[in-house]
Amino acid sequence: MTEEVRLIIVGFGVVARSLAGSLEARGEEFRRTRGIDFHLVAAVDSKSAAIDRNGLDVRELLRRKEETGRVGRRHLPATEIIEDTEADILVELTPANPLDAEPGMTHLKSAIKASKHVVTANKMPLAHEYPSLMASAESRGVQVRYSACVGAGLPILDFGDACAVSEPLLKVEGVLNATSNFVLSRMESDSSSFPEALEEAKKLGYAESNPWLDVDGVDSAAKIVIIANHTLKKSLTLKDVAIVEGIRRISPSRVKALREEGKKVRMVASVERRPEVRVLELPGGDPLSIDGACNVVKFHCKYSGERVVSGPAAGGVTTSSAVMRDLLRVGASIEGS
Amino acid sequence: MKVVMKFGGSLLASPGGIPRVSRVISKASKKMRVVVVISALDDVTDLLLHAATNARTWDSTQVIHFIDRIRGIHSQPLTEMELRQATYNEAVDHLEELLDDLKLTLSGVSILRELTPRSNDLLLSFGERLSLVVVSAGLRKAGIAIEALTGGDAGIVTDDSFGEASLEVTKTRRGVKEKLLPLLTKGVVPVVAGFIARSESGEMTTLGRGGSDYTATLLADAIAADEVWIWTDVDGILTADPRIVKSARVIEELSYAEAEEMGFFGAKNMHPLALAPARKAGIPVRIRNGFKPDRLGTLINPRERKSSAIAKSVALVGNVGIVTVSGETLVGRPGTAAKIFELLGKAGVNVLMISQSVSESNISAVVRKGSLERAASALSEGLSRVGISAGVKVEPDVSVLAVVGAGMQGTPGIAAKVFSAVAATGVNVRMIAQGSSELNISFVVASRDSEKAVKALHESVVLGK
Ligand SMILES: NC(=O)c1ccc[n+]([C@@H]2O[C@H](COP(=O)([O-])OP(=O)(O)OC[C@H]3O[C@@H](n4cnc5c(N)ncnc54)[C@H](OP(=O)(O)O)[C@@H]3O)[C@@H](O)[C@H]2O)c1
Repeated sequence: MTEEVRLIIVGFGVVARSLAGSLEARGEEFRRTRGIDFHLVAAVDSKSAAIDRNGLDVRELLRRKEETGRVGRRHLPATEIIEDTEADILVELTPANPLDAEPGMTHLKSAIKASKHVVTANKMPLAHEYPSLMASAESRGVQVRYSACVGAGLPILDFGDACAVSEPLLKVEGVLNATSNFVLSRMESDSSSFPEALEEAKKLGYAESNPWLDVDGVDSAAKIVIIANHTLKKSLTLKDVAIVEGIRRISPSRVKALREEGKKVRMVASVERRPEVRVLELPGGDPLSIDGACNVVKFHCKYSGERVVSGPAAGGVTTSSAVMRDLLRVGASIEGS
Repeated sequence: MKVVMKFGGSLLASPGGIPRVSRVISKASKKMRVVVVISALDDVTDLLLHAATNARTWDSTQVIHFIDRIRGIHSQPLTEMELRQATYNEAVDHLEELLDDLKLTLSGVSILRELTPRSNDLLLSFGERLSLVVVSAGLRKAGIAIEALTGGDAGIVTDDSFGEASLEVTKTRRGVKEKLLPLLTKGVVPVVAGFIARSESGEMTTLGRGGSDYTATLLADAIAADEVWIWTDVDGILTADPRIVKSARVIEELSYAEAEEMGFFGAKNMHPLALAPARKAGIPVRIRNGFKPDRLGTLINPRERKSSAIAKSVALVGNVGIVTVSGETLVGRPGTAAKIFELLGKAGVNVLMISQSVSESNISAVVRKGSLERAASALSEGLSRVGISAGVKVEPDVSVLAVVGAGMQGTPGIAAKVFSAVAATGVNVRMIAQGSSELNISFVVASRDSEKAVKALHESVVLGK
């Protein structure tokens, strides 16, 4: 038997469009192999909304967004749609706002209040209020899933869960911002200056046009908060993170001198007791000294020692694959209920 | 000829501002010896003040976000100037170094949850220091031989009462002379970050409300400059606010005393404190428009030249209110006015005008609207504490009109004449006061009548029609 799972996507940018593309291309496969029939009942961007309780024509939606820059003709407030449209899951894909996490925060709260499950790639609401959001989701009996918030498509949180099945985890540390890591690798490989390397990251679409979130450590801080809560079961928010240093002030000469010693400089976020983000000089063989637009995380397990997960961690496609993972999990649980 | 030129923040931050300023300096430096003083770029000082009040409660993210805003304001003109790559990189590097220090300062405040006067001075100093990096890069690009200096580098020394440091006049004179004169002889233009100085123990201090203008006049005093030119984005000091009075025009010449009166009543060009060193040294100060460098602007000089008109300007100070204390026990009780001043002073309320009416047994003070409530509660509490029973009443929505000019000095019946000009328009005058210098007469009228009154006064006493 196939279960109909109705989705609302709020935020229709790079990640959302990649997700919609997969829903369209793989819809039949999911129906057949998983028994899940995804229906996109509403899509919202910053200027407009499209709603159809029988399911929107995704191909048409993507075409309209590309041609007009809007998903629909009229503006409707996202909160109203989240509260009033009959649906099972809110997919929250609006931009990450480090200051007050809006508009994502309001979207999440509206969904939880309306007893809808949430799948999100937007890390800021969780970074700001993980403990209270999860508590209210639990009291409403809804799931909040957020694989894509850490590691884009790289299943870092799942990996940590697996490590934690049989033993306590003592500490987690890692390179969590792919853009910064790309910039540092570039400075090492071809002696670019920081502004040059950053410029290149922008051209390749890794960095935001205003990259302070990435290179000053705020994005890493948000991710380590999520890891601290999810993996280490701590109760922390972004305010608790000491962002000691970003990568702006790293000079080509320092990079060069380190290279001659066989070392690399990396922006590392960690949490043992207090979460922090700082720049570390690592020996060449250290697993954290990965190159390129990648993430790497080391879980310190009480008995078995260090476990490491690493890989490419940037871009809309890999991010949407993590969102899809979450959707299928929530979908499966709905089906079972 | 030696001229100290100060360039204001809105001029520097206007589109194409730094190249425009470079042209002015380049042209002048061919004919005379020039010392340049610069302010913080446009709203940076306000942003830093905002940070000073709020940083205690900020977390890392908010600090980083603030730094990024400041970065944006300074990196935009740097990018627009199309510098050579090496010059650009060097400037960006210098900028980042300062931003890093700023971040440390703010992080310190946010961790300690406390802003000491010392960190406050340090924090506020970043506006001019950051501006110095950007402006210097632009001036070098224009081919001007410069040396970039903070106030301390230039020899400006203060004591170390942070927040309200006072100038060590003799040491500053000596220090500035030793630093700047050799540069001028070599044909180098010293570019000095305004507003900031250094204590004898080497710490960053600030020069308070006189700001960069004060830096300019004190440097001028130290090197015995011939003139100080304050470059702004307006034509000079005007006879009235041109948005209200169409026939307002530039005042060609003013005395220091007149300029200070106008400054007190909010002519935004200059803080009264800032003029002091120039006035004492008898150095003329010109206010000029950087967008129209061929105009002469307003000359402020030692002489008091009477013109045919009675007054030189009419200023309108809006957003003020009256607080009135009344009661029989006030009358004839000596020292009540002084007590009122004292109470308001303690509450940090600045009194613009005060007047006493014996017949109605009351005393009224005009204060900024923002401090009206504070003034009222300070007075009712303070007076009852010393056993004076008095009613305290506030009236918002009034404005002060200040008529300024040496022409009013020693002219008998002048107040009556000015008063009748207002009265003729049917506007009710609520209070009137003549300054002790006799250089100004101020009125209070209801705000809704204020523009009408300004126009009438401008016609009759400034233009003399
Ligand atoms: N891209 C990645 O590699 C990646 C990786 C991990 C996590 N993420 C996270 O995933 C989220 C989405 O990223 P993205 O790259 O897809 O961002 P994006 O391309 O900038 O798209 C953001 C979308 O949100 C919409 N939006 C903005 N304000 C809105 C509002 N008030 N109400 C409704 N919609 C609003 C925008 O509307 P308009 O289309 O009208 O502008 C746009 O469609 C972000 O939180 C990001 O941090 C992204």
